[in-house]
Amino acid sequence: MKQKHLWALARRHVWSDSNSTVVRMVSALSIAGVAIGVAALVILQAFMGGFTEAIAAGLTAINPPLHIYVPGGGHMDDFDLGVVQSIASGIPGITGVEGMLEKPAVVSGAPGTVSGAMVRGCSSVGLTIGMDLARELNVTAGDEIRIASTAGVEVSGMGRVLVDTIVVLVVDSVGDFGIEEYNSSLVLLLGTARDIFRAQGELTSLGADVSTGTDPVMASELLNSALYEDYVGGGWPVYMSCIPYLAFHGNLFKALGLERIAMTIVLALITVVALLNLSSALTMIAMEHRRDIGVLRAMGLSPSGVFRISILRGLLLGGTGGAAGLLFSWISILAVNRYFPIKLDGTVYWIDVLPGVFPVATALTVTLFTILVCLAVSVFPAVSALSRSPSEALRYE
Amino acid sequence: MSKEIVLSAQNVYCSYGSDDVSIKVLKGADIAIRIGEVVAVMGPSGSGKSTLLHALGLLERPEKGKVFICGEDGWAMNGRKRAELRNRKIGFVFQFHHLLEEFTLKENVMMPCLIAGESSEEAAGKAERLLERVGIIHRASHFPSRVSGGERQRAAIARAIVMKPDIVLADEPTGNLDTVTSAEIEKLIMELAEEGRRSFLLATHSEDLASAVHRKVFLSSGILNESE
Ligand SMILES: Nc1ncnc2c1ncn2[C@@H]1O[C@H](COP(=O)(O)OP(=O)(O)O)[C@@H](O)[C@H]1O
Ligand SMILES: [Mg+2]
Repeated sequence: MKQKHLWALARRHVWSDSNSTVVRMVSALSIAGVAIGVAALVILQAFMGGFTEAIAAGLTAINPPLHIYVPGGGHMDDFDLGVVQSIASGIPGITGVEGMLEKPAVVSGAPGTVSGAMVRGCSSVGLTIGMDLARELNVTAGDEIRIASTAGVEVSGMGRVLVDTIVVLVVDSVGDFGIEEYNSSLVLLLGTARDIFRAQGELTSLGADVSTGTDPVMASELLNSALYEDYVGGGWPVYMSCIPYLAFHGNLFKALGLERIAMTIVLALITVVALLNLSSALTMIAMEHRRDIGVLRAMGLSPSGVFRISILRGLLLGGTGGAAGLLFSWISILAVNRYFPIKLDGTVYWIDVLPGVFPVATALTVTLFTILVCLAVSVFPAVSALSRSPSEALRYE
Repeated sequence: MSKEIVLSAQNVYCSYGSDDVSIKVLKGADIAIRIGEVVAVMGPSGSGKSTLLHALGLLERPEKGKVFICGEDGWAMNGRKRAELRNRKIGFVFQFHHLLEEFTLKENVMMPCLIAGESSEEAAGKAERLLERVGIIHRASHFPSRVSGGERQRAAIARAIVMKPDIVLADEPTGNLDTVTSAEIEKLIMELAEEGRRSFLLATHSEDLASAVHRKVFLSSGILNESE
């Protein structure tokens, strides 16, 4: 019998107008079960993955991928920068190293406004103020802000005294740094920052960039061990260490990963229940068509034909369910992203919109798994159909 | 063995149940049917007519004995070969039409051809010609549940002969029909046997049907006799 005719037989067995209502209901429910299981898994992965990616993207948007610092919080200077630059130039994939000075300050904008903010000096283009801070200070590009710092130190006849500095600057642009925390900070040129904090030559950390395609974790390990060797061999006073920037938030990503695994297990169990349901549906459909199989065998359907019809029924139900689940999850992710964005409290979650990213790898794995299990649960009805003689099947009412 | 014999069985034993409580239904049945011959197996209900037809039609393996279809030992081959033999040489008509409910009458008649691996077009052509012949072409696209008992049995007969089998086994083909329809079906069977020089083995306890056949055999105490 041609494969397409076997398919047609299997299809009519699981779904046709002449089927009993029970068969159609059982088929529909098992398709729906598999679809829900697959969709739940894919949608979960889409949004948990989307959340993790968005946070990672936000964190790396204004921070270079590699972070070089002095463990314990000690400061660095331009000399240290030079040392790191020369060491990094020997490491493939690292494209450049720059210094940063980052300190808290008091900022005021429109009359009556004042706020504490992190001020970061780096190789930026002019002065960019985070959008939340801009709103708080009621300023836009072109407005003036005042930055006050009490960190300045002056040595005078009275000894070391703290000196207030107040600097007036013009805002060049208002920026969205992706993460709530950064939107309450401002970024300006390194030289300006050093003037504000009276910290000539000083740096709080260094950042290194990598070329596209370079794994930041690998690059940071290479740089870190090179820095260590240099420190041990050169007898420098400061010991510098390098980690990938995201490793700062390693615990966050670990927690997110753990949560994702836990939820995946729960939803995978839903899928398993759906597949058990599918298995009982197949048994039921096999019972309803026991006599028909006897008739087909009387007409000369071979044992392998009987086996294949049973397997195809399983593939039809599972395949339809899986495809429906994939389609549904794809459409929902698209619709949520475009028309019903999930709003988050940015102060809690760092990002204000939860993005869904269709997880291709997960979707393929889930679908493959579903189809394999459908095949497996189809084998029992198939074998039991063959264990009966055609005569026995024909007498079955 | 004579070439004229399309079906023969020797010393067939069949029983149901386990060893301790077994019902012996056939106890050494013998039969031989020639080309074009229409034979009726007579016997009261429960005498084992269906059991005999299933054993002869290679649907249930007898405990003992041999069944030859066109000279081939039907139970001495593997399942695939036996299925092929059923497909090409044997046609079945059941008491309860046993049409496939999810398929139209035409699709039901096409089914043996599709099982043989023919294309849909080829099978559809044959099915239409046969539905025309048995007088229900106007019901071709109807489902079995939407047509009368007589029409169903006509479709079942068309399905049984669509592969031009050498022997058609019919288990009480008129058992579930009213007398008028029964008479029509009987007439159709006799005509089809005549036209195709096709052999029929009919299980029946209807004297009307039996009166028209070429030869009668009687099943009693698990054995076939030429007279009552
Ligand atoms: N599956 C079965 N299990 C046990 N006994 C059976 C089974 N099928 C038939 N029988 C018994 O075998 C005998 C012959 O049945 P059957 O061949 O159907 O007779 P008929 O077709 O002449 O009415 C009956 O006594 C019946 O009860
Ligand atoms: Mg019977």
